[in-house]
Amino acid sequence: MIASQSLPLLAFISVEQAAFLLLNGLALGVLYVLIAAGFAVIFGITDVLNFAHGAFYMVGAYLTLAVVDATGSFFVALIVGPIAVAGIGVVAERLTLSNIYDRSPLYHVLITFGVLLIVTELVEIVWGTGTQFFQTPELLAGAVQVGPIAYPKYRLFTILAGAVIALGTWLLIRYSRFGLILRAGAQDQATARLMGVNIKKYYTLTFALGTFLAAIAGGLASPFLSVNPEMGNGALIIAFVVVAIGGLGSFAGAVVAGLLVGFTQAAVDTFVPALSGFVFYILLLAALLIKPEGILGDYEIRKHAAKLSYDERIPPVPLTDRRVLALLGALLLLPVVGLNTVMSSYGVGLVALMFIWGILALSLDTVTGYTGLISFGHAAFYGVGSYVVALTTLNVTNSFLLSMGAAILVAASIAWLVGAISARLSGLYFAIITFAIGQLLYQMSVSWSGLTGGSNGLSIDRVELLGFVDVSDTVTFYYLALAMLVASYYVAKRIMDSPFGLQLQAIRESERRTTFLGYNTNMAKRRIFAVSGALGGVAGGLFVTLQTFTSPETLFWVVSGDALFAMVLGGVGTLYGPIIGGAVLIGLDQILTIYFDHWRMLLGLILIVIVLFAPRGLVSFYAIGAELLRGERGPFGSAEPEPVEERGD
Amino acid sequence: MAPDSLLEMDGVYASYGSGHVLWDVSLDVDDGEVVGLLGRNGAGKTTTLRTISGVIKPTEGAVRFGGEDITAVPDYEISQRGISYVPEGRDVFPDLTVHENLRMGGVTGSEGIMTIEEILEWMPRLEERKSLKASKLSGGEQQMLAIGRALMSKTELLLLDEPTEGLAPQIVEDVIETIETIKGRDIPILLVEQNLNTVLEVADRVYILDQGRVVYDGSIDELRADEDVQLEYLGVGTDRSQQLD
Repeated sequence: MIASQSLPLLAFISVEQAAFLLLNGLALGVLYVLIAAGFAVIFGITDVLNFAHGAFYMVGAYLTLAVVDATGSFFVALIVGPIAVAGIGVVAERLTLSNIYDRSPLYHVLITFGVLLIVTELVEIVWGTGTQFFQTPELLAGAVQVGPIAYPKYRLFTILAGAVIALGTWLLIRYSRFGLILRAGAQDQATARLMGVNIKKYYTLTFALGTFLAAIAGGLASPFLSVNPEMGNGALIIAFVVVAIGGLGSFAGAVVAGLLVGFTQAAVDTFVPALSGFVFYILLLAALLIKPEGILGDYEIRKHAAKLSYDERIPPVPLTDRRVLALLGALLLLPVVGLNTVMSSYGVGLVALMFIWGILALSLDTVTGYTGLISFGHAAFYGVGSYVVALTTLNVTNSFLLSMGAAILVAASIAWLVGAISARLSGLYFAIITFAIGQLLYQMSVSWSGLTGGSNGLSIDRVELLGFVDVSDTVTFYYLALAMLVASYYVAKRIMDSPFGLQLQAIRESERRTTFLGYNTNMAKRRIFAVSGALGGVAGGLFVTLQTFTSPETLFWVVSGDALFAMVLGGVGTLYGPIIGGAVLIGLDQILTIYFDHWRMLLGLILIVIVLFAPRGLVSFYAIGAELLRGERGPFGSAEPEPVEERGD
Repeated sequence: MAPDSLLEMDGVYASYGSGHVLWDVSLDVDDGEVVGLLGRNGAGKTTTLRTISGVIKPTEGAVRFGGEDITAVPDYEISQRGISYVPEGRDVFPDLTVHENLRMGGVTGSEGIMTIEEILEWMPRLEERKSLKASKLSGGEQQMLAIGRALMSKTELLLLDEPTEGLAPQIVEDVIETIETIKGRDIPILLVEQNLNTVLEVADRVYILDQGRVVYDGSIDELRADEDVQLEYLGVGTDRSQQLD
């Protein structure tokens, strides 16, 4: 019966098609497994989401290519290239992560983001931004008969090599002494040290193994994918999706999930090509909704529960503070006095852009800095805000108030929904799901070109305030953006000063205990996420009004990364710090980009230095400086250096 | 203080953050002896063991082991030098099997005093469960596993932190028997306990800590005879079956 029922379905495809589908799915699946393997190993052992994973994958492709050019042997290159990348990984780990494993994952995410920026720019400096041609090695060129079909030899080789590497890694972790130490260290590093193990050394080796696997995946993939500096982005997303579906911390889960995603992708490519770009995100959302811990995940957020906590509270500055009023006065006068004397209209626009980024970083601070939820998807609200204003202006009305109102409403709704979906997920799952939703929207903006203009984006014309003031005028816009920044800050500060704000901060310190006190923490998280999304939408809506243009770039995950950077650069958990951070970041961006092609490398360096040495950002410089100037002792515990205490557990 | 003591703590102060936990603690352990370390909750017993094993660094004073200053030596290296520490609450690796936990004990390759086979022969309950995850074991079995794991590594001194805590009386007897077996092999032990009975049964000498200071130092017979000390620092009288706190 079953056979006869399934026959009509099979009748749609021939045996040959089925064979192709099977092999394509397997080849893709193995490649995904390989890409995710290193990411899964690093996460499983050290609890670090390595955002530089894609960058190491890319460097792997480039270095393999370089060794092929030098030696002429693909097989030599496939070993030597990744080993060199592992060496780079070791240096990167020692200089960055190895110093901050005990910190909140927020800092892990940021510091690896910094490594990503530096590595990407270095590759662009050495090899340029163009696509490199990688010829399939002669031995593996052409096709071979597999049953009813002829299949490319190289793909078969990839399947074989990938299977060997994945199996080898699994055996290493499961049965070797090295693997035993890694697993023990992942469970309890304090006890592992009591067994005489220098666990830091093994964390470094874990990172080396992870980057080696990333690089060998890059090397293997390059003959049939294009080699360019962008290739790492795709790999990072694959790694995220596969590891989240498989279950965080489970290597076997990553293997199962990689194959699953590969087969699904191959099937969708064949039968529903329109959905091709969405496979990852749909599978990920489905997995997180149905089985949030992943297919094989028994992972409990172990060591730090992704907790963000501060030794010292830096309270937000009230708007009535004299320094704030003085600054506001200066900003009000700036276009009047400064325009055509010290700055051009471009300069005024730039300062307005700084306000916009201030709002974006502020919006992130309400959920991340205050509630402790690491959102790696704030680009979603920024981008949605910009698209809603653009679409409303193009299709409905050119009234700024109406289009901005629509943007706030839509962004807040999406944020509320994101909060509702992910409320029960904590810590790093939250970062992953927000990342995935952001990328899903990005993919929509690229694919649904009828509505969004695809990768060309949307241009708008004249936007009016109340029907007569032309907001497109730079100086008018400047005041509008300043007003919205002040209003956003006021709202955020009022919220954080209220009982609701205290509840949010209690959630950051311990969600469990807040629940014990009788608060509905999930509701609180949904609400603050909606507020944060609304503010992100404001920033995006202002952005498109200023630039008269928006594109999928506004939804790309790098915007989310930059927003996190801006927040920490200024001072996470202070509300005013992120505004400063946003302004400084965008100011640097716009100015340095004129003089220095690869300025984002410098940005990566700044990010790493801030994370390592000033985790409370620029506002802590101010606090430290003010203390020094007044010659006062600091608040309790900070004036006198604490005796160095080993972290027990 | 005898210069040839195996372990010497010399005027050690230690603290967590701003509050001092140990005040001028000096004690020593000689070859072949079992030394008990008694005291109430919060007296600083665990902190003393953590300081010896290098998990916490003293703010003042010195720790010497085999004549060498180990005050600034990192914890993993202290373990490699032969101090095996069985922490309070056992701390077995929950997701590793019993066998893997034992392997982990000898993972640095330094010569342990027993092999896995010897340990499993000695502790037949572990032999039966060697392929189970350690989290599936009972408290007593986990304690045995933790001790066995410690003996897998080079052990010139064994630090035991409340090995009978939370165990049923029958199991406590098993643990005491195990400690006596180790003692019979001439391995010196520094034994932290709240249970006076256990210490009276296996120790040669005893120190009592109170609020981070050593307040008593004597042989086990002296302590047994001195009911005032028992009452003052341990809160027990002659009724030896009484559990402290």
